[in-house]
Amino acid sequence: MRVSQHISLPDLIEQHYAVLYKYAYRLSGSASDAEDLTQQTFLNAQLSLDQLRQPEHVRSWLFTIARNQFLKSVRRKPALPLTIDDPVAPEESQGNDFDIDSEQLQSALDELAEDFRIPIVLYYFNEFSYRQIAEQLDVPIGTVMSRLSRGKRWLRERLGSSISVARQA
Amino acid sequence: MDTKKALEKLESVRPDSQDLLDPEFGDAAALVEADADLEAVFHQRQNLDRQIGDVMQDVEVPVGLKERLLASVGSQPVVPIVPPKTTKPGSSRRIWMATATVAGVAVAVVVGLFFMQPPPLGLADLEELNAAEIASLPLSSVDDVQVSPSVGRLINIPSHEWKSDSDVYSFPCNGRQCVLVVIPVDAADVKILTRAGTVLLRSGYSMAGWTEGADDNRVVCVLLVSGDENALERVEERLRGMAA
Repeated sequence: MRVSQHISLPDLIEQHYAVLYKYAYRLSGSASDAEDLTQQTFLNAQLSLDQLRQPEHVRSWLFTIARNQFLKSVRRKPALPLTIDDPVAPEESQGNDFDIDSEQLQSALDELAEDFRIPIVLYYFNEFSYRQIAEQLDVPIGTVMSRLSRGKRWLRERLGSSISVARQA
Repeated sequence: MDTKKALEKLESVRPDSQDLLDPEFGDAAALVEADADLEAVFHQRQNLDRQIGDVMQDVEVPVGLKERLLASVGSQPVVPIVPPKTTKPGSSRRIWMATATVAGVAVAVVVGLFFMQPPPLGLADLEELNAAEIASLPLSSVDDVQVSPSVGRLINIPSHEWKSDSDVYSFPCNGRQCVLVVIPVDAADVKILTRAGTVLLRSGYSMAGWTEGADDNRVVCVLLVSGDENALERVEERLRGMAA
């Protein structure tokens, strides 16, 4: 059933532009790229609005458009050699209070290959379950779980130094 | 399941969510519950995830972004032009879609004679092209041309043999009338458009097509048409021959 008669683009922008911009920023690592990406997402949404059949999934639909647009705009990075084999992750021997720097977090994200960065960002945006992420990325749930596990472990290692410094301070 | 695998699996559980109730995590959750050390590690990771998530989402949104977005897309809602979907293609889906694609291109020739309104905004790139340049564009290669339906006139077309998800727009293009056809297809069906493009080009029509949208699942076809009243019949005849 077509539903787009009941959804206007201004409404979509009103409700979703902020989170989409933040998502675009974390994917691209640049404020200007994030704004371009957000704008392009809504332009593409405008083009495809009549194909939206489940209004309750509109946010996931917009995230999908943003992700596709992002992937078009970047040259795919080779996958990181995520072969870390540490049964005990760094934070496991640390306390509960951390001081995570936003810029360092972004630097770490920028180093991640898109195949890992996208599910990681989606996970931390807390908008979608791993099942919804799998559906959005059109990959098996086992693939998402694996990428989340490896990507998060790698991210923790990258953030490990700042966490340690924060604890010493 | 060993403790390492359990922890790996539980990496997909979001803090403060109901994710842990998902049966997928049943074994891992039971293992964590039975092992105090494992449970401590899990909660520590969840705590760190919570903090990383807070930082991840703490992005300053530029002042005026919403207004700029509204200005860029216009304020008109997009209204579908085709009748409600009736039936889904069955086992003959591929053949049906191929036929629908061919029929869609053909029908577009006729509806292309309609007039258009205001100058397009998102079609600037296409407007700069003449017929020969459009004809020379390789199919499925114009990734960067963005088409905004709101700038074109939506054309109401007969639904018979027409894929109901498809949209057709008419717009002025380099002083001529253009038809823009947006057709949801399977990736393999792009081939039929390529063949259709070859036939049309040989028939003297100028045409360009490419894929767009999420997962590149829509074919966009631009067809330059003349005011010849017999254009449809001729194109239909040629396309039918091609499909056969």
